[in-house]
Amino acid sequence: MKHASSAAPGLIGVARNVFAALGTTGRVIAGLAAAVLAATPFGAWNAVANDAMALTADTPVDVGPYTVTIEKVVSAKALGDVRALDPEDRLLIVVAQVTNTSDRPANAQQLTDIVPAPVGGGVVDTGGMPVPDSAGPGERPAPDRYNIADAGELDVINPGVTYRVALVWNQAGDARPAEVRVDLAGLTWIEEGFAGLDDEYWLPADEVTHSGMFDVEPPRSEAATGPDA
Amino acid sequence: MLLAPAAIGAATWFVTQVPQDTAVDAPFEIGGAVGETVHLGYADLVVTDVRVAEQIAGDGVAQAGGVFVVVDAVWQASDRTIAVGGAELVDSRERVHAATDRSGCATATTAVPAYRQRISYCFDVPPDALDGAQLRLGRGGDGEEGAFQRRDAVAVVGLGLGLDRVPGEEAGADAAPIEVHGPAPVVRTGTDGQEDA
Repeated sequence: MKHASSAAPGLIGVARNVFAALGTTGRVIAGLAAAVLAATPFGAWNAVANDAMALTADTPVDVGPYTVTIEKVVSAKALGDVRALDPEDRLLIVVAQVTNTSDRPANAQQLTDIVPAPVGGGVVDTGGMPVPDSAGPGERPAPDRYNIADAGELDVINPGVTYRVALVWNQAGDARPAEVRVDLAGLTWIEEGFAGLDDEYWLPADEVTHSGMFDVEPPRSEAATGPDA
Repeated sequence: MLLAPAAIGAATWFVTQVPQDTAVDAPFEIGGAVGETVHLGYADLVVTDVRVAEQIAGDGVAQAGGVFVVVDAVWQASDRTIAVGGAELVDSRERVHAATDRSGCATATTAVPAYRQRISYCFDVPPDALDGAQLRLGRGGDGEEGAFQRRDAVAVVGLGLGLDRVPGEEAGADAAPIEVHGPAPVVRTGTDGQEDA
């Protein structure tokens, strides 16, 4: 009695047989799919941002109801009466001009969705934990926001009004970044929400639309003497 | 038997033809001017003063991004306590501006019967919003497109402002910061309509 030489080809054998049965086009597609699959653990599906548009200083960008112009990034021990939660830490400050270009009032809280914490700046969360550079826009800590003209907080930004604002994060005391990456994340207009329960608002998309490197101005004392002085 | 489907069909057609946001849900706007009493049924509203400045001073000093329009008003509820929110300033270009709570300004209050509730609303608006600006106020909040004021009375008060009130212009706005306060202590109205204190 003759026995079968092998009871089953096994997973690799099946894959080999299927691949052999594919035409040239099929093999190319299968190869690309396998490459993407293999790259998945390394961020192949991350929302960031190779196709994000370039962001440079003093260039207006339209985001949701706003036009946002990033002026500069500053590291400081204090901003007026504002100090870091930990006395050893510093403040990382993004200075920007914002104008509401829509015809409805906008909630200034949205600025914290539009400008995520800069990447590579040593930002720490309110618990003092470092924020990984790989954190997505929605995963980074929200800044405090101040109207530079009066050091007060903004609650609403009305149509046609421009403010120069400071967006402020806690920065690790030993961080000395020469430059950071500043991202802008988009907002999506929801005309009619699910079942009409919540309509007409801007929803954070948590997707980086603009990105650029900015020099970090050091604290004035270090600018005069050097950070290691 | 045939009447029921026909009636349902006719009602469906009618509902689809009527623009609900404006014809069915829209609030009833009652106009007024500064110094006039606007009778809303559930309350009376009087805008007593309108001031314009670049700064307001209450809980700290706030600097306007545009100009501050401070509207002093008095509410008196008719027969039950009401919450008043969603104050809006609407300019001649139909842009809607919300009140701010900066420097201790109030954006909402509660009005009760037999008491006059004073309040100052502060709006930070671009200078070109002054011309023809109207205050829009009602009980409840504004929500989306006035969602919480549907089928209710809303006061629309002309503020009598013009571009000549822009700070730095010839007639000028108030040079010093405007002092503002949150909802002021209530003043009870006596049975003869006179204030007790």
